[in-house]
Amino acid sequence: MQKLSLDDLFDMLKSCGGDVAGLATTPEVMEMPFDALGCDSLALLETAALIRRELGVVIPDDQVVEMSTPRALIDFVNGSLVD
Amino acid sequence: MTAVVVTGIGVIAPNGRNASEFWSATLSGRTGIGPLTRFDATSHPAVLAGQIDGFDPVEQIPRKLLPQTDVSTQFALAAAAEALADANVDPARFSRYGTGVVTSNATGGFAFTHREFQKLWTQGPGAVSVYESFAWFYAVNTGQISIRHGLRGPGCVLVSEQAGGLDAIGNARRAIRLGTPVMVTGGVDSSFDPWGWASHVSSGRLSRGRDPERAYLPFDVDANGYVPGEGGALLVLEEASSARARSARLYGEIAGYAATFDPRPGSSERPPGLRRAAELAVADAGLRPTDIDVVFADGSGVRNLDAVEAAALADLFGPGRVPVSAPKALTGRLYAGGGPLDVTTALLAIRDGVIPATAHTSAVPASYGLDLVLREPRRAELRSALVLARGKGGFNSAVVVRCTDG
Repeated sequence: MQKLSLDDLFDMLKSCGGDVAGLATTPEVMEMPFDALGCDSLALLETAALIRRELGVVIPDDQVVEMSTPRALIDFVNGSLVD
Repeated sequence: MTAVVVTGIGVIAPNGRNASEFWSATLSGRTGIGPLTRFDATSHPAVLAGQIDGFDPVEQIPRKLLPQTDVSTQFALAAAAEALADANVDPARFSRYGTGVVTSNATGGFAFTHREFQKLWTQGPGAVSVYESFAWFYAVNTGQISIRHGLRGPGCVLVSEQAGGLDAIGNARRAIRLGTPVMVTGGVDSSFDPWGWASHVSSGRLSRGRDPERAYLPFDVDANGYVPGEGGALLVLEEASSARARSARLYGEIAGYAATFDPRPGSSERPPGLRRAAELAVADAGLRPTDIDVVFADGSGVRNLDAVEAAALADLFGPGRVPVSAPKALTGRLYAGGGPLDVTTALLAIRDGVIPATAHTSAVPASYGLDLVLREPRRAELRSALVLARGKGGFNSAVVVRCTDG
């Protein structure tokens, strides 16, 4: 299955109430805390629900709020897709 | 006692998407009532609404708020931003808790919730937006306005159907008297999705008329129910000396406020509470009924409720002794938005020395003893205005606004 890219994730965050419009998807952004990217816990929960619907990957609510950066989220999703 | 003044106005109404559009429509008699087009309502018993067309939330509010807000909250955010800009208030210049928000809302985030319920029943709980958790909620407009503008002081919501918008203004006035220098207050409603519309129809008070100029006729012999509208108004209220110190423009003073409840139907010989609310608000302003220059009536458009209001006014002021108008004939009844929009009308009427007419109403029963302003706006020197609102369930609220000298 197609891997989740940072661009894909940003599109999802935008449609889920994350305030990432106008941010470039640079490698540094991968390591930035979601807080600093304008994404609160609700935006992440909403994004996790979208990932579940679109990619079939289930991220438990208590784990998604612990994922502090795009890298953590993308690694989890892509790791699950491999399995 | 601390005087509380209005320094900013924001309007989102069926006949005007900002305060100046609304005021010119109100004076020229341009109606916002027409066929409901948000969905196919043609099979419903009521088909007319005061609908806001051409509102683009993308132009009005931050993009990140779009997925988490009902259209009613988008309206509220647009009106609050207009009011704060109009007041030229920068919340950051006040102390951390020196600015707050009190709004009213009667129907919640209906359209948003309808959409999420559809997802729930067709796709399952995993498809329901997390934002449903607050997007439906009566208090959400207060919260979103507070967050967007950094208004960290007192925050609350009042829910009392059409009376609620005046209750919010009364509560904001109290917050200022208790020491918060700036409050954003008012109310907005919108519930024109199929589910929301069903809730309006079930009140039994909607007009079944199909002619936009004949459907909602407050105080008319042919009054036969009301047309629901959407939108409302947000105001910036400030402590008067602080507003004067920053050379703010003053629209007028919120001089009096009162609220009463009707006795339970059939339980009492006591009369409905509207007259007492009006009387208490006038007294709260330190005025006598003879000091009131104009009344902006609740104007239910339901025959027996019109009669109750007319009797209350005739009793308090004397038959025909004060000009009365219900400019909401051009917007429909806006629920929580109705009172603040009427307060806006009162302030602009005082400013411009003109009473807008009650559009479309043509024949008032003589027994009402009402001097209803009909057909054309009436020139008049106005210093004090009484605004009345009744909410279904027995709520009566009244606000007195007064011109500020200098």
